[in-house]
Amino acid sequence: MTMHWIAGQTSTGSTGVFSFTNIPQTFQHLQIRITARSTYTGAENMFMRINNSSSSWWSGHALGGQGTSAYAASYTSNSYADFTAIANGSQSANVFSAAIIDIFDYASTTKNKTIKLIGGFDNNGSGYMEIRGALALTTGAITDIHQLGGTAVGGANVLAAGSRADLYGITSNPIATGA
Amino acid sequence: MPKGMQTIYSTTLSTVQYTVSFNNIPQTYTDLKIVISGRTDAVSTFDGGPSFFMNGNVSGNLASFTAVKSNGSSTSSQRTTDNAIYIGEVPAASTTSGIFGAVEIYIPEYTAGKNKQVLIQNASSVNNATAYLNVRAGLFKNPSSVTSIGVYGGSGNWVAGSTFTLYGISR
Repeated sequence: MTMHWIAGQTSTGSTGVFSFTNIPQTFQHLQIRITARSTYTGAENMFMRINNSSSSWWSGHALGGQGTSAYAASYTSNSYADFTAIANGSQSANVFSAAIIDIFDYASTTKNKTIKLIGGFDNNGSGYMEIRGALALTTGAITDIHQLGGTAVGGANVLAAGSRADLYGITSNPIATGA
Repeated sequence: MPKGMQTIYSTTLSTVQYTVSFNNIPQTYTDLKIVISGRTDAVSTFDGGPSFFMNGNVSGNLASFTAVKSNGSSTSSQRTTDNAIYIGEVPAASTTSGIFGAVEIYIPEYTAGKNKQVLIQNASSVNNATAYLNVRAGLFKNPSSVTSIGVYGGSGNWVAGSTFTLYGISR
């Protein structure tokens, strides 16, 4: 297994979403590593859509905790993947959330797309931690990821300057490379 | 520098050791990842005390975490503020020999002038009895670049055979 950087985006404080287009179809899996914070002062979740579609093909489950009790949640027939809570403008300065999203067999044209996320933030007295699964009932290869952000769907709110997302390709190469 | 993930340093303990340190961490990557296969010699089934700290900063209660965990029969959440971030339970001396816990720590943007937010994944199981699964978000309230990391053994020392690997991830 080797891990290769494909593309990255960093917010300058004027965008609400990240987008990756023309994703190479040459890897086995994709991984997105995110550190983000919204300028919005209310509760914020991270959302994602694929292939420039707002189809209601998403369902998902969550296991999470906010420091005192655990919770579970689910949804169906969503037009977006609903991911974990992220740090917002109410958190201490310079506190960003972190998340890792794994997209398995993204180039397959026969499999529906299953995605795993682990993410959250701690604010030295508050915070959330979640692991989530999402399913997109589409067998189409994923060629773009858009509206990925910790803001209202469509990017109505703004990601704080310094927020970033990096897209990596994971190979199934059997040669040991140290990765 | 290749864009992806590379091993910076890896060690396998040949004897018991309480603290494993990564010093002089190169400042040339974007993110860091630590992978631990570990077990301590605490006189118990599990040791919930292992933790890690950055830049030798072990005072001021600047570290905290929010966790979701399962022990195989129930799920809970907790938050702790201390001088280091606890990484969850690992097998200890009362567990069948040869069973080690699996821990992964992700440290994004370790050179940026931000407080350091980390993600921890931990799975430790002992012979189909008790098991722990932890996911944690941790925070070091210190915007300084991370140049060193130390991993404590908790109530016991890390035993021989425990492995600690530091990876650099670059964009």
